Amino acid sequence: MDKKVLAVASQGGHWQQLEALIPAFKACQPSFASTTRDRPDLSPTCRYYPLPNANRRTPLQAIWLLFTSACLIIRLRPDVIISTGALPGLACIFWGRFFGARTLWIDSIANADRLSLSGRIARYLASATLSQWPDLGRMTGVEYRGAVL
Amino acid sequence: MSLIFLTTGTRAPFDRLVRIVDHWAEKNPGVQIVAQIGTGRYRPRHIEATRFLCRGDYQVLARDCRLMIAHAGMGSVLSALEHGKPLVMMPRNDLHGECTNDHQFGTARRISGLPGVYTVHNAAQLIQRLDNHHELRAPDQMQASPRQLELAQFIMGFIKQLPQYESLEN
Repeated sequence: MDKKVLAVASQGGHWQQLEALIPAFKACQPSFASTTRDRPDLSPTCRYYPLPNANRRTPLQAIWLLFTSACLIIRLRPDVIISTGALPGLACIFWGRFFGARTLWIDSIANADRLSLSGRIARYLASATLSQWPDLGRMTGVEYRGAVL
Repeated sequence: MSLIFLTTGTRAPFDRLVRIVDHWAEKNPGVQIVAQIGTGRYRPRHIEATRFLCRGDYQVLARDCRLMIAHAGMGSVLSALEHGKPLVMMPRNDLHGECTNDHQFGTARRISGLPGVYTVHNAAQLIQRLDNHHELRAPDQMQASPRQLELAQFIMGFIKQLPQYESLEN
């Protein structure tokens, strides 16, 4: 049976990097989650779930995100969760770990000098953590396996 | 008349950039400038500014403009490359309270090696680029790089749970 895949990214640059990865999902039925209320341009067979647009400077939103992302993971029970950032992706990976999903964090290509804070946390939560810069990967002990550019 | 699209991202204000472009626009009335300024406080008077553009409007502007001006955010960079537009980008500077960390300097340093991407750090550099914006070259056509293929392959292997991708897991 096809693996259930959930791909998560917040709006803006993180989402655009996730979009660049869509060809890699063609063998499975991916669902997507982001922080825009409107559904992004996705193939009609893909499901889309909005999440609150929280970051670490919006603590109330972050608590709401922790709740809604838990509901989403319980409802979908994905086998695989993939995120390019930021906090909404980390929240899904956190809950995914509880419910037995295999999780992949791809740190944003914007982080050229050090991993993002979410990325540094994801190292301890995700099944695999990637940086998009080879030298950064070596320095921080995460893997480099290519980039979106 | 050439169209310039200015975007600062929507997460934090970037008034310094908007102000410089607004002052340049005042002296160059022949150029149409449309801007997405997010939560900025400065109200430009010589450019058409919106706080938040919906996805469709953003795409149309990125498609029709002659030049993009932006902060050094990956969303802006990827849009400019996708639409093949020259990009002049100014990294946000933490000293001016424009961001919470200085990662945009790193992004700018790495990305500005690409053809068609120009980094500026201050008003003088930006104005010089704007004055000569007709001479700025466009980025190369986007095509799959070996790095993109490697990442896509890794993800496909990760999803299928192939053994060589399991070794990564703790």
